[in-house]
Amino acid sequence: MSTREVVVLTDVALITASVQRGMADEIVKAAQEAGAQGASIHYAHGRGVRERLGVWGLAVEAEKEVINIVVAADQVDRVFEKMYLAGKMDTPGMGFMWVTPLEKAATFVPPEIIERLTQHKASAQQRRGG
Amino acid sequence: MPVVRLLVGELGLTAVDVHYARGVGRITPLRHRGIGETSEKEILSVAAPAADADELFEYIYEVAEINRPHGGLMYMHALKTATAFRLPDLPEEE
Repeated sequence: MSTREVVVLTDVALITASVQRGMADEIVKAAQEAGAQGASIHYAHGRGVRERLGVWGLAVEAEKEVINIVVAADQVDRVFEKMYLAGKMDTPGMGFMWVTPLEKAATFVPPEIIERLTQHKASAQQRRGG
Repeated sequence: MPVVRLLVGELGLTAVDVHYARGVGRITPLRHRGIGETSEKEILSVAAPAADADELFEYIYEVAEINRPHGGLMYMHALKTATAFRLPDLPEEE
């Protein structure tokens, strides 16, 4: 039986944006400036308002980049807003984005940070108890 | 991907997908070498019964070695609806 512990992060959310190919790097940069740690980007093929924009649908790229960013719940609104502005999401055909609440997430957390959080939690409990 | 082989072969899961992405991070393995901040990633998506989800989350955490520097990130969220997906009873491919 394993004695290793799973370090789980709660109060996290996933921001996903589907944008025209070539836009992702700029949007991720804006997200990082707003506090996001990292992102993953993959390609997709999109269909939608493209056919109704421009001549022969050439105005909007069918090739899409899909950005996934996990952020702390208290950062969601700020990161989302910066991504929205960087991606010019208020312009028809530029893309769309959404937030998925996550039950939990896990990644490598350095032991010294876990130690610090454990101490912080213990002292908070002591204060409440005393 | 060894994790997929374990999930499909040993646990018998069928709703397992893999796609590729580029990862962008503040601190990546390549950054100190000055050759860029992006790296190739494999993204694994698994749909599982809610009752098994926590156990499966821990299993993937262990076998994918998430808890090491640059080990990646994993997350779990609920699905509102899903269809059953059963594979026909066919012999294993060579």
